[in-house]
Amino acid sequence: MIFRLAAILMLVLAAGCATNLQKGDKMLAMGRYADARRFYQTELDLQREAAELPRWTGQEYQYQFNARDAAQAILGVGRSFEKQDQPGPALYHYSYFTQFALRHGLDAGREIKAIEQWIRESGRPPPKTESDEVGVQALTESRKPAVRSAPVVAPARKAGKPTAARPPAAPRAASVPADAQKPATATETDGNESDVIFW
Amino acid sequence: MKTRRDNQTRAVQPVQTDRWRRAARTLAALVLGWICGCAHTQPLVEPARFPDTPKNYRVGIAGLFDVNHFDYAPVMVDEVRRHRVFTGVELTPDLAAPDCDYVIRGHFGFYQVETKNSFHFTSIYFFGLPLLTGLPNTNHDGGIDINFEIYHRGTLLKTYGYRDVFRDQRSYLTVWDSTSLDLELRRMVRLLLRDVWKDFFGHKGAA
Repeated sequence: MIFRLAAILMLVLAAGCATNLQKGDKMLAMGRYADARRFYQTELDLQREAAELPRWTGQEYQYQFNARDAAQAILGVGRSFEKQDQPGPALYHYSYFTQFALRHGLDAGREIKAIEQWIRESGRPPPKTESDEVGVQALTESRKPAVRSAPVVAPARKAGKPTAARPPAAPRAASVPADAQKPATATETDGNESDVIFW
Repeated sequence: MKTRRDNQTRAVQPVQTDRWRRAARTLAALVLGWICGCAHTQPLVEPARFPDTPKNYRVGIAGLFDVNHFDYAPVMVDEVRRHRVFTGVELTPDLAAPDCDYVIRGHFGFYQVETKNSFHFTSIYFFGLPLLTGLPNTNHDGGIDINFEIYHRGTLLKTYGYRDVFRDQRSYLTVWDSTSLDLELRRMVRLLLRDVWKDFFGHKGAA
């Protein structure tokens, strides 16, 4: 009888001591997705609260949160949405997980491959999360000033230095129409391409 | 016999008294606010500033990340939905989401430091009883730096940046909520909505 009570007590203690991640995994395996999400979200909130203020160790500030657990919680939320057949929120949380793992330098290659596999199987286009450079590039190109008509002399270039590396400007053909003869670049405008710089 | 000057003086005196009273009230409010209030460098935009009818645009929120890359986008979604500025608001991981007219992404840094003042420490020697008077014993200093990026079909259209510094004096009997990250984010989102509305739809003839 005593052994039975001790075993029950141990089981209760073990169940009570399970982390939110373990509880979430258990709920996910049982198919209770909303409950699983609640446990994952609780874990994520705990980690987020722990990350609010860094702790001074005497040498540097350190954040007191476990990035691995936080990443697993984010991934769990995504998985619960995926199992519940909600691909939109699942994709959002998978993207969040990927960025979070990259930000904290976590080894999440296996999980990211599984996410890629899921995206490929579901036929959804991958999110364009790293398009900052593309966007900025497009904006810069559209804002690029028109061709400068006035040549600018580069001060660093010496006058006597030969410019044989560049091909000489070709003479304009007489048969070219008038519109095409308008200078398209500053190089063609002044004819002396070695003295022209752009900015 | 009353002169014209007497009549003028009598007419002006009440106006001056009102002015002094108003100034005294403002000064009292300032002192009270300094002692036990809360002050921000950025205003809290009134909901009346937003349009009555939402704009027929669909806006995606691609995350609102802090320095540790925790996501607070649900707060932003909730605030945008509450003010009904756009007809559709949703979370999206895609900056070039085809079903969204604009996609907003934000990054911020937030800090809030809580310190106890001399009144608190002095009260320890009186068994904490002075704290029951409700005088403030805690000071909150904090700030937020936030940047929003607005994308249209994956192309960066515009960026908005805000900085708010705040201080907050509290006692154990203060009934109103303390400044928190959630409230600060909502304040910043309101500023963004105000400016987006002004820049994108504020001109004459905007559909």
